Amino acid sequence: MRTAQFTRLSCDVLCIGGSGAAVSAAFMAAQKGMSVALVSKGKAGRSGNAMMVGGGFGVDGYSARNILGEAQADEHYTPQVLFEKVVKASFFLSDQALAEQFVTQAPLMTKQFLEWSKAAGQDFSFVKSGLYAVSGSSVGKTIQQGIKSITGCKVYDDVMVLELLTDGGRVAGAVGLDLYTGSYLIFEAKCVVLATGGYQPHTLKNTISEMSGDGMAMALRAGARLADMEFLLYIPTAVQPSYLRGSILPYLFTIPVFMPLPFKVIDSTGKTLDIPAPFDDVAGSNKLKKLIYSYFWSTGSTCDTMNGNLFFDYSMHTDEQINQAFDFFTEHYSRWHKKGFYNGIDLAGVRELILRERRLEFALGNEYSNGGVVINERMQTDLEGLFAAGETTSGLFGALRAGDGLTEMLAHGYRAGLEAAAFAAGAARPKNLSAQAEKIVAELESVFERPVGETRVPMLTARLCSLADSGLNVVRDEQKIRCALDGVREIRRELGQVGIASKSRRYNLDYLGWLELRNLSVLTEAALLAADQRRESRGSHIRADYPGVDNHNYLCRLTAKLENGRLIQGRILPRAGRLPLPDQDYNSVADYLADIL
Amino acid sequence: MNVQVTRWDPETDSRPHMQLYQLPLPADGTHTVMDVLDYIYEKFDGTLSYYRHSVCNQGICGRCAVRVNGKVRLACTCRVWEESLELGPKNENVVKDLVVR
Repeated sequence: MRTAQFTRLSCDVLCIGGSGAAVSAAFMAAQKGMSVALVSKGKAGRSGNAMMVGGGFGVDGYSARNILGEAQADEHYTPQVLFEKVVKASFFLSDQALAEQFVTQAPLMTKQFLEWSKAAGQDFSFVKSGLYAVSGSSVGKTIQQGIKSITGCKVYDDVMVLELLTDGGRVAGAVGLDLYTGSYLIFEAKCVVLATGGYQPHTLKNTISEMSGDGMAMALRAGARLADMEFLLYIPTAVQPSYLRGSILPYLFTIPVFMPLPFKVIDSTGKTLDIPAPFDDVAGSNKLKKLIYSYFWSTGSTCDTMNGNLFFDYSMHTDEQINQAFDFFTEHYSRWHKKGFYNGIDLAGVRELILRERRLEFALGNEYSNGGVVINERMQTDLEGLFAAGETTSGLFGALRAGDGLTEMLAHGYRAGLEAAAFAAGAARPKNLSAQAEKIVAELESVFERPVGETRVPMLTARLCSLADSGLNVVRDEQKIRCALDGVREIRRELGQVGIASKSRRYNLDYLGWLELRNLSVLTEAALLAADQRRESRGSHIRADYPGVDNHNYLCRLTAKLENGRLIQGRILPRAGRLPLPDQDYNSVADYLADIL
Repeated sequence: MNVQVTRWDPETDSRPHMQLYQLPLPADGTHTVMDVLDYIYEKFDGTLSYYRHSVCNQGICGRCAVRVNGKVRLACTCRVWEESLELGPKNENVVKDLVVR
């Protein structure tokens, strides 16, 4: 048997993640004099979901004017207004202490973020009340600038963290796999910040490919609770031609300030899917519109809307109208992208396609996971020494995200860094954690000893995604949820038997896939359990068999915890703050939305 | 479509060799080089290594560059129009197959 190679590393605060939340936390902890290590599954600053942003991010107008110095910001859009927007959109599942933290502390880190963007020569233009228009690459370069500005931060790129390590009941490190060499890194720290992003179990990906929820799964295995896993956010996403697949261009095409081309939506049976009043008047840039689209296009169609079957119909327009709209869109995005391109996509090809076919197929693709590790407003998890930040957490946005993911990343990263620094200042160095790490690795590496059968890792992954498409569909029902649950449990069993095609430890895709599926499958099971238990509709959890919003029985967050290898469910009542909790029920998600509009 | 891929595990192989895969994908520009590599890995050969972790698949992260018929291209945005494709690592610092430092 091959001997695994280990390297031991030490720091005060270990930040796990390569995007804005981890970098913000590392920056704040280093500002407080801590030695910091940042470990990223991809290349830090060039990985993570922040890089996939399409439109922009923002804070309230009052803070934009008074903290960020934006003279044209609308002061009437106060932190209180943003707070209420977030809590109401969450269907009142938002932890209001977290929502307060979000509105008050996000501007502080945003100020720093804007300084990084200027130093990196990136163009973040302030477009209206508190919103900055950005591109994924400009955000990526800004995060890279942030990394450069952290004094003495050690960065470990292309290392997938596999498991948290503990010392006397306190989280005090982690063990990771260097994907290039196949050797292992043991990080020993006074405390850990988990900022590994969300999870994405579906076949169609518009997120970055690493959304296997590694941090959530590690925290779960270490004893922390997850919550809100049933709430996944969906947006129009391209499905074909293959080179366009996964692009969020269809979503951007729905926003008139980017793409001034009205559209009709039809499904593959030819049925027109209208958005009724008053929802049709909601601005395309309003975050509630994402749920409005998902709700009406999915409940209105008999087709599976998660993998296609929806079309923007542009047949009412002349060539000239289409060309004018495309000229406008192309010009808007040429600020950040090569002229004529959106990211790496040649817009001329998309224009030709629409001019030729007068329609564009799309699906409702999963963009963001509201669920994740349970935290409080100090970013503390259930586990001593473990803090969490960004999309890997839950609690801020509840059943529907109305604030920006990037803003969450900054607000959480800011607080997590400060709290981790304060914790580390009073904590001792852990003892040598090598034996613990070596035991974990020995168990994982036993996968190489198994014979390779007919079932291969990518087949299991495809099966899991297909089960998630069915059980965690935009519109769900008990039978499909339970069927998917059985299938996911079977996959988790098969993960214990499947072999790895190559024995090489160098950049082994089967091993990487197996490690990711180990995480993603347990999270998908947790999500399906919650989706089954929540016998109502709320936010992006829409049940065909329970269409009403049942505040009397389900105004609570559903949690999952691992005990002896089994997922145990629990409940958390949302913490009320400035807004009292509602006691009124609604006949549908649409009725609730109409009430808060 | 005929795809020749440079294979090399510097830990065990003395030198690189080419491996041919025949794919039933049309060379009409609808697929990208990343689609081709995914197809080979998922359907034919689980031992193939190409940059696939934390990829954006949209030409943002810029990490999936490979040599396509002699020219360095991003696998995720490079559309395939040729029946014959030769894929190699973009430089000589090979980790394995198409993955480089």
